Amino acid sequence: MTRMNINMEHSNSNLVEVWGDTVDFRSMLFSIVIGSVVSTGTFLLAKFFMSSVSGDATLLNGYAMLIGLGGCLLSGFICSVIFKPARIVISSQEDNSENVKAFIVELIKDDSNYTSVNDLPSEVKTELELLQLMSVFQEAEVIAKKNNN
Amino acid sequence: MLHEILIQFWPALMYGIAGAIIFSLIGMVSGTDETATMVPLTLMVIIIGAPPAAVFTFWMAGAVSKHMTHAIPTALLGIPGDTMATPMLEEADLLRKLGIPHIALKKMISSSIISAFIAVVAAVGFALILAPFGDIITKFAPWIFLIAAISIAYFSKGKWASVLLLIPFVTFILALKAFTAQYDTSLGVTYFLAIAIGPLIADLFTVMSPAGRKAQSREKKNEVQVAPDLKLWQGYFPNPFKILNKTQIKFTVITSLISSATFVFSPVAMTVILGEFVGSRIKNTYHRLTTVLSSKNGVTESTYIAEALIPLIAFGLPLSPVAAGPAAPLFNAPPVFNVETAEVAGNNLHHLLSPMDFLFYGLLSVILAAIIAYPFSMNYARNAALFVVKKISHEAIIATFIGLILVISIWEGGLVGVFTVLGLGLLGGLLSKHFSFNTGCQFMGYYVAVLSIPAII
Repeated sequence: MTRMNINMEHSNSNLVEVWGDTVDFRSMLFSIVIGSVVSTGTFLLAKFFMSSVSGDATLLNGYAMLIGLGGCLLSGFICSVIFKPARIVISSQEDNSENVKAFIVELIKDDSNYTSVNDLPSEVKTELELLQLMSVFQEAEVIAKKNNN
Repeated sequence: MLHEILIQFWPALMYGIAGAIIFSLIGMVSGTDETATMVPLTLMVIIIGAPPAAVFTFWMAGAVSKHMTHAIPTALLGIPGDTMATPMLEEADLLRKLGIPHIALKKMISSSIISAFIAVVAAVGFALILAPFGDIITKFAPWIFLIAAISIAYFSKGKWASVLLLIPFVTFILALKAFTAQYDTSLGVTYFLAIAIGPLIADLFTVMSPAGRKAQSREKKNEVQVAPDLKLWQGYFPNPFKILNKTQIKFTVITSLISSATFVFSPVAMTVILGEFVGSRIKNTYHRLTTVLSSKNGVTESTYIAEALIPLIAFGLPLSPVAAGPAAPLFNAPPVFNVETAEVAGNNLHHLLSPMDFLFYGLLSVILAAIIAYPFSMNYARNAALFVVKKISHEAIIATFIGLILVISIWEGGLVGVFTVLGLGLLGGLLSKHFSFNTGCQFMGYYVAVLSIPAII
């Protein structure tokens, strides 16, 4: 148990933010090695084989570069198979109209220019009905008014 | 003339489809800077020898598509799809709290496609008005670049620091040029790539050092909340004019027209300013949030298009933040394209395509995005966002980009290329991180080094 805790702590302390997202430091090091070796390896191999083919050298070098780019994608694919994303994904689909109502009350409070949903153009009203938000807004407006008085 | 346009039609169509698909996918990977992704891939297309119209269609279809799908992480995950999406986070976040991020998303994408059509036509029109001044502008190009670099630097977040940073940065590039010349190597693409991917290189060096790793270390994993979705139409193809209401269509049209003309300003700044303009005119919170958001995403699309198209058609010189950044390869991609200097005549899309070509292939690009990116992001946004955050690790993205900079720099200059990419990337990345001397300023710095300095000193 203690050991597991240490391990977990250890793995957590390895998280770093690089280029806008969190990664595990060690898997990032491995992915850098994979990215460098696979891509440049593919490119240099392609270049080596191209040098034995006769033809325009610049063009052949260009083809080798293209194959090298294939190597980049390959290294990305390998890394996405080996390393799982260091993200926590929360996917919500539940109904929380009470929270929404409370939030709308807050919005109305902060907004001195607020006008009621009842005064909206009819197509906007229909839109709100479709989203089942019309009544939520109306109720929130009543609460906000009460709070004001 | 029609014959000339059509001769490049098939390759342009194929590259355009490829651009729309590739950048629709990249747009969903949040945090990917548009310069870091658009520049390398466009350079590839140019280097493998795509005809001019195909290069343009690839870029354009890609840019339009990316600005649709970047709305997916912005609206559903609350993470900006790229830097252009940051001004929309506030409204998107409020609509997420109202439980209707899917509406935010659908309005954003729908206005984006309407804006794109308007912007292509308007930008070609504005470019034709400005074109007569093209010769004068070309003549004074070294000075104009210097002024443009200073003003783009001043309007970046770094303000005066960015302006002054141009001096050491330009000096560094001149030094690199002298260094590579010693080994008979002349690099082009490598500089662009180094600047574009600099922030990654700087971050990697930072976390290699124990002290830097401590500063960048995180207690827990990045938490990503994926919001619910709701389909509001039947069939596969939604109608953008039905997703937006009349007020929203009106403001989308107005703001797209305005932002198509203001091609010298930063797209992020235009998005904020025009968002305020729209927001001050609508009182009800729900209606205001959805309308502001749709206008804002429309503006990201239209400024982007105009900032690339107007300098491209009228001058052939990258005189706007977008032209100096993500669209840079359309102006300068040695050895294929180059901007005009004192010694060399210019040869880039400006010289190779006529305004009619730009209009035709511009509209083709928008149509491709409308067929590929629009219905895709309207129908599969949630699943796509889930797939990206669950399956594609950031490690894999880092590996791909490390491979990319190595292959390209070795291909162009061997070890000298690798040293250049590491040196310039590290410097540029650090300047961007600590001084907000962003990639746009750095691209302008590059132009000052190769165009202004030799002509002026």
